[in-house]
Amino acid sequence: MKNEILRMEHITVAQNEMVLLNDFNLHIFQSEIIGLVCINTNGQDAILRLLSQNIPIQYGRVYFNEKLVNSYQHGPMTMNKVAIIEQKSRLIENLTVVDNVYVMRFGFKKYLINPRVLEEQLRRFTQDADIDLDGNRLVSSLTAYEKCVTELLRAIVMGAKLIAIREISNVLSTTDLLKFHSLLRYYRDQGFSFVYICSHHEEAFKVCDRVAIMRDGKILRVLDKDQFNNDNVAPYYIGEFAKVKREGLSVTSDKGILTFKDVCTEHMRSLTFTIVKGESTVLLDMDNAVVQDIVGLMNGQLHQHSGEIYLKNKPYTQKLAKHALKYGVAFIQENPILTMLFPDMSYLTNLCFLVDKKRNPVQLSKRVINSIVQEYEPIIGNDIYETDIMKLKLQSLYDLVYYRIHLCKPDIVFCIQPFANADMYLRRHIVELINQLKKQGATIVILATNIADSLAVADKLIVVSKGTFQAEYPRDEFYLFNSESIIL
Amino acid sequence: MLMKFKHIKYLSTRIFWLAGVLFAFILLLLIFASILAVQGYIDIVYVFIGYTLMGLLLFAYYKWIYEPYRENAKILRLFAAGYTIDALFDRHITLSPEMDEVIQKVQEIMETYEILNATKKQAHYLALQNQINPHFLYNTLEGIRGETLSAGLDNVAKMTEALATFFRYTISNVENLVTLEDELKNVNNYYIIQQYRFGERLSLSVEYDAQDEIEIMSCRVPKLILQPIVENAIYHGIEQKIGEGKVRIKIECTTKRLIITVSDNGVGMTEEKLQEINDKLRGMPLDYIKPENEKHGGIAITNVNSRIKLLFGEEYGICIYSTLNVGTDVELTLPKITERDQAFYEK
Repeated sequence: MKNEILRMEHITVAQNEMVLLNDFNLHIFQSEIIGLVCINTNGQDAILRLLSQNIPIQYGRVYFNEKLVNSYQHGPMTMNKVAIIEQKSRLIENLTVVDNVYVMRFGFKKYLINPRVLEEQLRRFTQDADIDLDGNRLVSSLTAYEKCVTELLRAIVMGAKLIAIREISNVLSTTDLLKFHSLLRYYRDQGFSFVYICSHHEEAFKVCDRVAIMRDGKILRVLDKDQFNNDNVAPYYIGEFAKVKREGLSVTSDKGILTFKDVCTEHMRSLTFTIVKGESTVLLDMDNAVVQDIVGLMNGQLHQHSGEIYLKNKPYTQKLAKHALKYGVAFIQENPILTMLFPDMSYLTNLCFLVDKKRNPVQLSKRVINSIVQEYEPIIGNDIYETDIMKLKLQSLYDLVYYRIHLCKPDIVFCIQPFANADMYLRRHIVELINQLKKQGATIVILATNIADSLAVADKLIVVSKGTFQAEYPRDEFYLFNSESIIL
Repeated sequence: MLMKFKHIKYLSTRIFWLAGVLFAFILLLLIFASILAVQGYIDIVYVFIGYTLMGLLLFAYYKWIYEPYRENAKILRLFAAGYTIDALFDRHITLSPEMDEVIQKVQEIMETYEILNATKKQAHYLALQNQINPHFLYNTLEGIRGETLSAGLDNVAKMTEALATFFRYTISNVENLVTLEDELKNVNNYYIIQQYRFGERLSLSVEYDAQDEIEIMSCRVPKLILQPIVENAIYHGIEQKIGEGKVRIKIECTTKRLIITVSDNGVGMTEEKLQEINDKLRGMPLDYIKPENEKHGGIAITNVNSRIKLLFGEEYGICIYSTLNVGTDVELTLPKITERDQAFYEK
């Protein structure tokens, strides 16, 4: 007989006349990892809010441990024993792991704290779960994985009945994610329950016991473990990607546009690879170690200890890299809406931001701007005239980021984790935007720590592990990653 | 503004306006007193006490009047939209004694309707029983079975046996609750009959945790709640589908609930249709007491849902998940009723 930890029944939550959760039903048993695969992000925040606190709802009931804790009749505003782990850490950076796990939690009432006792208690936990984590380290010095583990330990120590994990694959590398999954399985077997919220069914299938597919705050289907296959998800999920047309190679050439030859940095160990002109290459960094170093080397913020980098068969030095765009190298950062846009500037000013820094720079005159408007208005539409870009939809903001790069006509574009934090509709849109760049003749390098949907636009996959080249897969071998990503 | 003025016909609006004016007046007085206190005409302590009292008054107004009123209004809105009945009769704070009496009267009327309706249904069953004369029917079917057996038509014999058992279960023992085991046997009989039509095209599987088999099978459920859903899965899902049709019954048992999911890989339904059905299922069984529904006669999903809700309360019932060209999952949530609890529910 199963113990029901949580049951959400016919939940309807609306805010400002917008329905966030629509007849939402979900039940979670003890010792279970249930996946919540969100086709779009609508309703995600509302679920997490509702899980942790019994806030007023329009309709429905919430049972926690088989007890009615919230209903449409009365929202008592009480807290539930739920912990949430997400990309943005909730830990206090200037405190140690032990302090974060034991001291900074509800119900801790001691006035005199003996750090050695706490360390010993933590040691027992880490030993049991086979976790390699020093309790005395400051949280600010931890890696993303270690932060996630600390948060998990805090939730376990706190006695959380249910732990919600949201979109952590964006911050964890493939190797770290696998380790974190095995930790979740360990604690699941200890009687803890988890809600694993993510956008990729492949990721959920690896760790979950059941998977619920959600769209627009509504559960579409719940799949049991024996139903975990792409065919069952295809109608909701992959079907959207089927509409995307794959862009072929823009230039059929075997010439390498970028070559790393025995490059060593703090994290790279004799990294060697070649990016072929016109190809889209996914550079999968299994340990999340070299992505930042590659970006640093390409934009001139970092200098290699040894080895050579060649761009279009010419040495690419740190001096040249400092003017990367001038040499046809462009970057699309992770979470570009936050990192690449200027909210105070108009759409057009944002769009033209790099034209005077590109290879053939042009001074921004009225005539040039008019010509840009004429060229991009048919593609972008009326959004191009928007003065307050914050009024625009997310997809339009992504258009702005990608067309800004498109306008510079770069030879090679580095996209850093382009699919992080994007729901399925946005991911599909990003695929189309990358294809636009490809069509223009740009070589695309996707720097990723997990495959996600990168293979949907890739021609080649290069796997880097522990700072060194591990393997290279051409497109016809992508079937090996069928369970990891959507492949067009 | 005009709209707001229109609302003045409601007592609630008048009370809120009056309370607003009253608080504004007190606030003005307090501001006046504050000015006097600054000028030294009165002691500042009195002004402080005044503000504290006003704060307490506002708090009491919010907690005692505004919050309960808001909850009451929400429940009445949900009742009007057909979402709930129970909540209407289950309010802690009511608007006035007269309103309380009115709601009690509504409850009585509804119960009478329900009883009348239940009686009518029972009468229908009895009429059916009398018309058919079950013993005559069973004996006839047994006769046919004997004849077919001696003629060497094993398949027809097996089908007749399944039909006889199915009728015996459906028509006889007009009791409320049966064991889940009996209910599953009836589904299996129904499946045997359908197999003669669909052949290899149709398959049925029942899944549950083997460790809990005895406990699950002895759980009490309302009679004939599964077969109509399986029938729906076959007729509306699988019949219209090309290729193999699968019906899966998954049973999960918690300390308090029984969750049964009937899934099919049939044609599914559109989002609009699904929304329409789920809206119907989510509300209280008002449809059940609507006389026009009797025209439809047959036991369908809404009927099963209504029976569950009437018997156990609106927190139980049916929820449907469906996607066009993928299939449909019907999830039934029931209280876990053991043999000991059966008498209480049947009463």
